[in-house]
Amino acid sequence: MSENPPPSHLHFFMQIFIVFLILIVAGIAGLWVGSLLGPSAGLPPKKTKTAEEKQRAGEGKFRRDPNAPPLFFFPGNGLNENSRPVADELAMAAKAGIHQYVVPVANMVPWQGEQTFKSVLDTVSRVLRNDTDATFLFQVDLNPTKEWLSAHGHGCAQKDPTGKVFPSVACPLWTEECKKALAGLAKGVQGSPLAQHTLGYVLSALTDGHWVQPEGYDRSEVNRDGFRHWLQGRYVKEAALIEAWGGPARFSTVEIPERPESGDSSNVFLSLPTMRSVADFQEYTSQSVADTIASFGTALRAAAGKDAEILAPYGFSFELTRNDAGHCALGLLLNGDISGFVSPVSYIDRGVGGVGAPMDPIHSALDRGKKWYIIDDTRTGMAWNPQTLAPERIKGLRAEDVFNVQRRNFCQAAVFGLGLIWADPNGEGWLQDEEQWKVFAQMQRIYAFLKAVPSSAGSSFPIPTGPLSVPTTVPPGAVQTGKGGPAEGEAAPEGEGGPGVVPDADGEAVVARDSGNEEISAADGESPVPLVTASEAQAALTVVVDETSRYYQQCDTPLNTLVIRQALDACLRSGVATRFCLLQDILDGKGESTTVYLFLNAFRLTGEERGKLHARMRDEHACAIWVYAPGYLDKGFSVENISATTGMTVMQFPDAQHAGSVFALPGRWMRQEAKFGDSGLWKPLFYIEDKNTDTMSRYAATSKVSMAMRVLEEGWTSVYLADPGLSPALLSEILSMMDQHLFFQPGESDFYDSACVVDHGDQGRLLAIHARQTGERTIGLNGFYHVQDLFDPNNVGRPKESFLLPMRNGETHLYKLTPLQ
Amino acid sequence: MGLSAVERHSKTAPLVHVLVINWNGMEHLEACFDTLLADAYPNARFVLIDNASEDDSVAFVRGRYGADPRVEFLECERNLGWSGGNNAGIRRALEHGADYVFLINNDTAVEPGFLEKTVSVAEADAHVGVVAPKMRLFSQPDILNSVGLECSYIGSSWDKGVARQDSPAWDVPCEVIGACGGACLIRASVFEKTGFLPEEFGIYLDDLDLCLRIWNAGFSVVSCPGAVVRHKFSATLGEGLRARHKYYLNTRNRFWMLFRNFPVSKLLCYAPALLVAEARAMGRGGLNGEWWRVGAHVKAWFAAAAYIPRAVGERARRSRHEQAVCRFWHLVRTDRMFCAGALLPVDGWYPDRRIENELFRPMARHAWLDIPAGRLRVVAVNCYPSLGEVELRLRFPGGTEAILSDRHRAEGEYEVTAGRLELEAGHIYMSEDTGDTVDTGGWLRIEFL
Repeated sequence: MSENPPPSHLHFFMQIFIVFLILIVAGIAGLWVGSLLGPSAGLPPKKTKTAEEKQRAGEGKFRRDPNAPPLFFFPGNGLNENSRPVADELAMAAKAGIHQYVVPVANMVPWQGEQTFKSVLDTVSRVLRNDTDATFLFQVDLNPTKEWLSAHGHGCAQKDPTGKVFPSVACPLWTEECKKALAGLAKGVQGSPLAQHTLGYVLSALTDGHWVQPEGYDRSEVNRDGFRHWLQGRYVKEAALIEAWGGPARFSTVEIPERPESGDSSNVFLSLPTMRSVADFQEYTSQSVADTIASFGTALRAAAGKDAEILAPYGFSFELTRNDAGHCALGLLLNGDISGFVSPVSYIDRGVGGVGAPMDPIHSALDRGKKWYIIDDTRTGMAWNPQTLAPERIKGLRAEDVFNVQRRNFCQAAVFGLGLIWADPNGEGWLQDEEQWKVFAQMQRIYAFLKAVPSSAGSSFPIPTGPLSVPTTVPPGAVQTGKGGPAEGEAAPEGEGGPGVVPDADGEAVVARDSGNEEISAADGESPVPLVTASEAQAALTVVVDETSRYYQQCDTPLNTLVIRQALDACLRSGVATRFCLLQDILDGKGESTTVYLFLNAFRLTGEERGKLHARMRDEHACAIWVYAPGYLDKGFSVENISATTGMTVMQFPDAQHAGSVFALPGRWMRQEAKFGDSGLWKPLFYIEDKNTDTMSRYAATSKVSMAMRVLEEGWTSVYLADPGLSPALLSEILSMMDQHLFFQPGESDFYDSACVVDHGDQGRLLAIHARQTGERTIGLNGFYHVQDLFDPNNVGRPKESFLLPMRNGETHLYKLTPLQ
Repeated sequence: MGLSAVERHSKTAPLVHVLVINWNGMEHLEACFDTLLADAYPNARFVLIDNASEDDSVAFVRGRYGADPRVEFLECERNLGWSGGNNAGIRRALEHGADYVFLINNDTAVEPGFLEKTVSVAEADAHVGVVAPKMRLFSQPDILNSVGLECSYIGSSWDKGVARQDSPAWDVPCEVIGACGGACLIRASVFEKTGFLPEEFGIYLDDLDLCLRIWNAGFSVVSCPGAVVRHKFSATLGEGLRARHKYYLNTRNRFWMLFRNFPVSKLLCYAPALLVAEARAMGRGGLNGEWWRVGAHVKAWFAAAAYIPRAVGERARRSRHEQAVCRFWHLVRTDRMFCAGALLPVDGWYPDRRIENELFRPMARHAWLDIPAGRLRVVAVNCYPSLGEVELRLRFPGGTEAILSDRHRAEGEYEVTAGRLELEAGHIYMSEDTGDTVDTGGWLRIEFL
């Protein structure tokens, strides 16, 4: 016995503790013994759930990341088969941290209920097997099956020139089947574990799934009836139709007009009123396609809910030169249930050194909070060799060139704040390359950084080149102290060290900031501006494209090639921050103001619209550059309308006349006597005869003034280019005259590289350059900036006002320019 | 930014712009681009120069090959002709910093390594301005189309080796006076000295004109038989107005080319021969009742006379740039005026020939014939036993084979199924040895029993 026995409560707790200890030891011992016995001891093996089953059961740690950069992988049609190349690509994508996929689902129309949905599940399961964190955009092919077209297509189908059959968008049978399919798909998704993996849907139909009407008018019975119905809505009374068409016409008997010769540049516009039926039909064609997409969007929105992204490939007004392609009614979709658009990289000039321009007026969508995704289907030269059962790259196509083209496309997405879809369109193994996915992973890190981090506080922020296990996004709060600052060997100016993404000890990317800055937000307390929200950025130039003017053109490809395609090329090679908008937005006062507006094809303006444009130019003290025939069509075609639009006295050549001009001034970019423009025959063709203007160029053939400038008393500047040909040099010259800063400087050799620029003023700028040719060019920054190439994080220099940049053909750089505070 | 990019660039292969000139040739483009894009040369751009085609050529190439970053497009606003279209492509290539341009027609297909081999030849000698690959017939690749150009002292020009059987004898690289514009590699820097293709020529002899100027600018033109291009070549003028216009253009351009490039002393020296050649050509035309040929010559004379001031101006300009010295004369053929008639085989067969009162059909190295099922007899004779045995391999429909071989005459009877009979000659009787106009693999008669 102890003289000092422990207190009774302590004794009690000791006993409890010993009992627990014995239980724990016994438990561990039991587990150990059990593991020694294993399944062979007669115990049934424990069934472990596959990743797919976990997903079906809603288990797993999957959580959708709302801040993920909008970068996707499209495995193409190979996903619908058990394709080895695609399986490898999926594994590489997951390993690279790319978890967003565009999944093609075919044979949706007609909808067969569970049977159809099972095929969707089968397709998706191939992705989920590789990547349990996968999220999807379903690319829904709404072109019906051949069997359905055979059974129901009578009077309801159209053929392309190769004989391929498509449904008519005016076919109610087809549209109802499509809505049924979309509702069935959305409900199936919502009622399955796929719901948490599903981001949205891409609606695709007609040629290439891009809603492009087959060449030649749709002459199906339903389309004819649809046209008649549309006319009735447009004109209401037959008397109005007769007056508009200039001859006898009845709603009940109207036929689809003959397609006019569309390649004749000496007959640019339709003769009104006799050819108004063609204009009406072209307008109807575009509107009916847009209306169909809109109605599908509404049906899908009702079934899929408000959070689902509903995308459509539409609005390729910079790309499609046919006016009857059905893509000239984007304006109708900008306020509806369609939440975004998809388009491939331009096919016009997408090679090494090419512009690879956007196909669309992207800012009209972005300004409304809509999204735009670019499909990068660059042929990589990688292909699956069935003999060696291994992927191989064809020797002539260098990986270096492929990566540079992909970088250029990525830069457009990153600079303009667009999404990007890397595609292996036919599932042939184009992306079956580990190096390729390292490049994509780097792009994802850069995009995440730009999306998350403001530029205001720092000058130097190395982008990691570390392992692929980096987080796909860098949320704004993920800040670690003391890991930023200037790169080795470069001393940032005092107080200029700032946030950046650096590899941590494990090589993972984290946002870092310089010590002393506790918050990422700017010191003055303003909200940080991620550099990829391009819609609110400042720009020097707005490129304005009109959809309705194209309805009144008889000549399409030659004119659209010059005034839209080539002008777009000029804009992206001039080295200024540029916005791309619909004319209707400018008329409605939408969009950020810019100093210069380039009206590519504003051929149709009413008096009221003209007044609105002038008022906007006046209010913004802007410069308007008008091309070819601005405002030529009001109630009818008249050269006086052009005079009223441009503020200059404009005359019209009586007959077809050769365009092609000679520059009249000693310019920085355009030498005096330098030739530009198209030398073909054009009718109508205009010239300026106004003493109050400054002559800038004359036609080579007639010496009449083909371009002039006038500073109007109201306080805005009008530049009228009557010659339908705008080159990069000419646009650069005009922008220089308007005191706009161009990143490219004139020199012994003018490179006219492809450039994408976004300017956030004091927050910084992004400048992407894709070299058109080999050589050393001068980049002028118009002020002192810290310059950092985001593709080459070690390449950090001192603050610069300009720098020499030696580049090879196709080389691509993405610079973050941070102003010296 | 550093100089690393420039340093890296210096180690890469020269940039070649391959210019595919096209006008409404969509049916040719698949074979052309399929083979071009399969080539392993690491730094090439393949530019479709479209002369305002109306047949969706551009859309076809854009849709089928547009995703390849090496494929580029130059869409001409109107048909600029062969020279004009190529000049537009050359200007664009120079703007893009190309080191070489490779002119190629749309109706061709290349064999692997054509760029690597031609560029290697040019890179090995900085004085090489143009490299001419070996061109074979598209559908009969044993038969040569061109291994360079020949030019006679009266300005008549033809493809070297045309219609000849390809053999190791044609595999020797050599200097040639010109390269066929249907496929040739040109060093980009030569255009600074020589200017571009003469667009006023329209078509015909513009390639030779450029090559002569390249010679005079101090560069050479060499053949590269290792690089092979197959060409859908037609040796005939065709018929109708189009053929007559071709004949006129050929005649006119011959004068223009002479006036622009030949030394005055040589022109004066060979003027009588030129007159004789003209008289001969017109006389033949008259005798054959083809009076349009006479008309074409007369018309060409007027055009030639009108061109003299321009040619004089051109020569004066070159004189100022020290390019007036004739450096190509050693390659001008002074042993003949015109090309000996080139006879192309059809499906490997030449026209029938009477041998010892029997008709036999001479064949090239390969020939083929679609036959019905039944029993047939094949008779082969050898017209030149002293030059070796006739040796023929017959491949019947279904894959069975037979060999006919004898110094004088061989024959065999065979039971065959319907399909294609293919014949391959093991020995070629070259025209240099036989005195015939064509290289022959054997003389056959096929009889159905």
